[in-house]
Amino acid sequence: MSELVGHFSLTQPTISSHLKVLESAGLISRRKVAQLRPCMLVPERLKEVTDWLEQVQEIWEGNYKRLDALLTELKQAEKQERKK
Amino acid sequence: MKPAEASLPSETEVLVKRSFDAPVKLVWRAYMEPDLMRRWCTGMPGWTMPICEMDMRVGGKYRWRWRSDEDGQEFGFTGDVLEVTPHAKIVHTQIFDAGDLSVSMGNEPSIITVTFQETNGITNVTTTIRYASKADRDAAFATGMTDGMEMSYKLLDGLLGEV
Repeated sequence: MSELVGHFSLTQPTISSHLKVLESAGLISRRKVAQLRPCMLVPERLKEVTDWLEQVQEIWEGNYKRLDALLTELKQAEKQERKK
Repeated sequence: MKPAEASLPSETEVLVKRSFDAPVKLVWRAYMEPDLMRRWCTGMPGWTMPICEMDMRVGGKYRWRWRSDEDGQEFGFTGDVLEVTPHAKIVHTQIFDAGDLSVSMGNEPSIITVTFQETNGITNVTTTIRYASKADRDAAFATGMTDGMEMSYKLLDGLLGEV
């Protein structure tokens, strides 16, 4: 925690609350060593989240590519309309 | 245009951003007119949108349903329109109807907010999906995992078929 505080222009309570969120999401794990609470990244969990976001992006991008094509068509139709 | 960008702004939300090389009035039409919408909003490869009924006025309802070409399985979304600001914003509820799929996305409606903003002929579209609870978002998360995996396997099957 004290090491993290040095890296950000955030107060210790703010960092502490962010860590709590990360811990509840399973993205980090924390141990108790004497007075210290070292944090460890849980890479598998992080990968699950990024994989899921990539899948969401892929599905939406598929839709949006078809929308790009449709919009090109609509733009051309408008141009034709103006020529008349 | 840069590919769609998805992020998680909070515990209950998913945000998707994308820009389109077209004026907002055309993008708006593609979202509002069922005959246009069903041409692009088909989702996963190999699916079509046989039902796309929309009454996009405040208090109006919509019904979307997708069907798999391969095995005829169906699923859909329905909801109520909450807010419409022409060429700028649409807010609607969304209830998942699992149809033939054995998946869940929670039972409470989620709230979808789509914003449109044009700058120099480019239209930026943001879509925020706000789930009723973190549990519902996690259910959608689990569904996405299986759907995505199934889709990847199908793509892989296709590729392997070509070899």
